[in-house]
Amino acid sequence: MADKSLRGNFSTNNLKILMPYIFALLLFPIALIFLIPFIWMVITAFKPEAEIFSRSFLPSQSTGENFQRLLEIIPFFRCYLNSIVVGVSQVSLGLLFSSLAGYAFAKYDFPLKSAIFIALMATMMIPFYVRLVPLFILMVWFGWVDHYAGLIVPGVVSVFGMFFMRQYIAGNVPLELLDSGRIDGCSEFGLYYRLVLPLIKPAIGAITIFLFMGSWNNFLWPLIIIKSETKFTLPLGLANLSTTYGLEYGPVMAGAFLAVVPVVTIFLIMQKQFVRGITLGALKG
Amino acid sequence: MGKKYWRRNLIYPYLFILPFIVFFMVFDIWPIFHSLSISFLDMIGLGKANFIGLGNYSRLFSDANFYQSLRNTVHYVIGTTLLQIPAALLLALVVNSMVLKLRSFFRTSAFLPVITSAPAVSIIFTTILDYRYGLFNMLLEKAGLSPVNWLQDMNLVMWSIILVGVWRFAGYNMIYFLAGLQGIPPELYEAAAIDGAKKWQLFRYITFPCLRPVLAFVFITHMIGALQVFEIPYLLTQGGPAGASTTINLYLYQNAFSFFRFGYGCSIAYLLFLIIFIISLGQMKFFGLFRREVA
Repeated sequence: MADKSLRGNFSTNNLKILMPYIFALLLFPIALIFLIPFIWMVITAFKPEAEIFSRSFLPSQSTGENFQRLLEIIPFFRCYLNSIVVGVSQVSLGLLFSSLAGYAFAKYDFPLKSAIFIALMATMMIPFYVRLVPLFILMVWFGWVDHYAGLIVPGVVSVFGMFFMRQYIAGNVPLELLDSGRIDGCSEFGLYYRLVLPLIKPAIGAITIFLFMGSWNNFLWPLIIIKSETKFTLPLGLANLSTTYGLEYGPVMAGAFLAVVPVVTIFLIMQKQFVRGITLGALKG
Repeated sequence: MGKKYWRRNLIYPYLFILPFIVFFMVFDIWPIFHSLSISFLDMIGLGKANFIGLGNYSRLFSDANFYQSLRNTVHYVIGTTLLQIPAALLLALVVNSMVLKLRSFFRTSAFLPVITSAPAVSIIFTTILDYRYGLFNMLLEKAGLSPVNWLQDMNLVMWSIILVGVWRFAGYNMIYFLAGLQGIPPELYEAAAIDGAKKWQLFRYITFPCLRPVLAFVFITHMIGALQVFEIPYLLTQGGPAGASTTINLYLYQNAFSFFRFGYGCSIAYLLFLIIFIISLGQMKFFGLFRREVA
């Protein structure tokens, strides 16, 4: 009897602890809705060609032949390299410009400040598609069509990045610190470089990942500006792959797989910064 | 510090914003205004163009293809709003009620589609929605049902696009709802629980009103984004069959960059901007008025 009641107690306590897990298990199908397309992608990428069209979900064996074929039909790693070059240059220039401007808007008073700031914010409402044709014409004038410059430079300025920096600097860099720096004889640029930059590292992290994801996944602008295969970015390469070799499911899925893996990895590592980036910047606005 | 110091240092903030402003003027401000002036020209390619006043706009109003793209876009906006926002809210409520470890698993799963590029998403869904070899029809067949032509049926194709859109962005909206839910002070729930409030009442009288600003934000940003839908229809169906999934921005793209009708393309862009502007103002007013009524 004693044994039984003890066990009874044990199990009700356990049930309380286990409840959330049971709850989650029941809700697992919801997570699967989001995951199944990715699982399908991985399975297809490693499926032998003969089995892809045989209407079976799981392959009898996994194979690397789809990846081999992929590298034969398009210069996939060239696309990778291009995407990295574009991403790194856009993010570093964007960070520099937006942190400098954000610092000025947060910590200085100057004539026309609010007028300029409001004008900047107002343009955030205007869809990118409005600028599409004139931007293309501008690229023709500059001779930047089908050049890396045309791919990189127009996407360097991010009003959102600047706004985020301004908010962060306003809240996290005390004026007294800047004043004491001035008394110690630090130049205005020195204040930015020695005092502000070290204090805004978390914001830099959030903006970096945010801008990089945007650049890495950008499809429309490269589609318009790039013509030659050697300058394709990853999204462009993938789109080209599926229009030209769309019937070869295996290699196409292998390409999608290779394109998705690094973003997902970076996201898993830096998830917190990313989520903080999109919520902080937006909800304060 | 005297006036001299102030004047000497006045230059610095301008120096700091200078690089940003220069790029902004060239790549943002100038194109925005130039686009408006192009929309008044009969510009085709880079050749000489004539001023035709509102000619492009009046042509738009009698263009059956434009009306079709407008209808498809409205279909997409309404469909995704009705499915995606409740789904995202539900998802956030579920995730928020979980223990921490599971919470991050669910949140990450729902967020994966958001960080996947449109071409990758479209590749995945091409093979899922394919009529003969796709995953969906394979499952339907195994269940003894007849296959569905997801991407070639004129009446169904927009729904397939909506489905992909909801799958892609529900997790994005969820993040905002989650942030909103975590901002609600727990004391409110505790006080209500002491007063004997039921679960449903907690949601109706605490959660929902507290989420209203987030809800307004999600509604407005979702609508602005959905009106601009381009990538998935472009990649998945090329706007077909017979224009049944051509959206406004896809129509703009086809005009401007397949036929190089720059003037016409810019007029489509400005009309879309006008629509977005008016609807955003309307929504802001709606949510603003709503709030005052309660307070």
